[in-house]
Amino acid sequence: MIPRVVGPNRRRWKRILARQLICGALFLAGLWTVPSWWWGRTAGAWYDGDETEQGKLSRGVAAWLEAPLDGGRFRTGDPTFDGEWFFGTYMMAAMGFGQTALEHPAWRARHGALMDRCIDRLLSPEVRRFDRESWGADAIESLDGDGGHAAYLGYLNLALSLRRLLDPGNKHAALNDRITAALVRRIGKSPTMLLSTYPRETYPVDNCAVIGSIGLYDRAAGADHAALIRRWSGRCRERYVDLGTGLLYQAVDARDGTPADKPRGSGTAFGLYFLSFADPALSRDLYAATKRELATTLLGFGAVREYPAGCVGLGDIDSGPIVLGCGLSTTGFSIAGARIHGDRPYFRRLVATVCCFGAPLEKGDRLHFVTGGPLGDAILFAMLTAQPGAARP
Amino acid sequence: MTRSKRSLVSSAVVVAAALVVHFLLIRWLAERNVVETIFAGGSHVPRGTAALALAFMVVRLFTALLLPGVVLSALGAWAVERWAEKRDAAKGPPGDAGTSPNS
Repeated sequence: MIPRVVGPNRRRWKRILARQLICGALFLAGLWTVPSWWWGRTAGAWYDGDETEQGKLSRGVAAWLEAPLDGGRFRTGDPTFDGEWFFGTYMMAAMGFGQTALEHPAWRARHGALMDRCIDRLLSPEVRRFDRESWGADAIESLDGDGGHAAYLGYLNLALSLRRLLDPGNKHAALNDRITAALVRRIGKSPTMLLSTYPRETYPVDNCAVIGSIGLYDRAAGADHAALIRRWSGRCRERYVDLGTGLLYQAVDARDGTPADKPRGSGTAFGLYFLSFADPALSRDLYAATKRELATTLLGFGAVREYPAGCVGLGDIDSGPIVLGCGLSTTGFSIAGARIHGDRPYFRRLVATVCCFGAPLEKGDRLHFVTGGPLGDAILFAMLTAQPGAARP
Repeated sequence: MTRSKRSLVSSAVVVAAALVVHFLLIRWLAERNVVETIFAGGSHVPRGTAALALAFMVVRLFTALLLPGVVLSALGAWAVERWAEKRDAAKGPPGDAGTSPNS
């Protein structure tokens, strides 16, 4: 038997190699399992409508309403986008307060009052300015006309209809009647069945809000626009949904409704949330398409791509920053679809992503998402509390 | 201090420093509400603010995603070193342990 020489160098290298292998394996195990579990640990509570979680975020959003949002709060570099962010904050906050009031009847009085405060802000001249300056006419003062104002009127009317569902006799009920009547008339007259958001700018997602607001109005006020909604949904499936992917086109030509942008995740994920109030079947189909074409999972975190395979594009004000092909807004908006359509596993992964990168921070009894500011808090409030079963009372 | 202990302490210092910096930056950002203006982009964002927000994103990525793996890996390295140190101590000085029977 010949003795084999094992020198100190060789032993040291074996030790280093073993150490590197063990450390590498432990690092990957830690990366793969712990962060997604840790950041998704509140997802079950959010999905089940837990009062504690919803209450903390509702108080965080309510805190933003205490101080008026002034011009210094939003600085996108474009006054129209600044105005949209003001508008979006109050609108999504109103939806969150309304949805949580439906889920927890004991909150109706307080959250109804907070909704009223949001709606009052939405109706203030400062918040209406971005839409008025784009159209050269005020959306409310020109309700008898034929202008579009799809985003301002559609989103506002969705909040008004939800307020109506909570309290049919609320102070904004008459305005809800007037706006709904104007939207129904304009959609009926439009050859594309779409209203423009700004002159010569037409976005199917904003029209989803218009239709959602009419569907919710029907439930709240006992009206019946089922025939119009059916006709609109048929047109949407035929013209504004991409046949190959099943996703909603982001923009179409105002004159004839031909696609003017790619089918995209942010518009589809947001649109299906709005449509859940009027046409749950179309909303479900859009969610299925979003999941099939855009949903990804990495290290246990869920994320949603902005563009389907084969399409390349940049991030913009709709999608937010795009990282590794996934849109920040697209991922956030998809949370609503997952809860509305009962997709608990993916809801958990999306919430893990939002909590990891949204940087939730508790301040006293309030919860804020630090990287979102007022708009991020309001959007997540609405998305995390979106109602399964399309906000049925 | 043994090599294994030194390595564990240095890892603990890095982890603690990252957590402290994260704690301070997240509160600073929450008070000033600056991240959304960073996301919006544009020349209106002061450079110092942008740099601190970027620092936060890097630290956040480290603490929120990589930290568990780093801690586990450091503990693994410490365990391997401890085991090797104990084995070396049992075998005597390195120069004396030059051969092993070939089985």
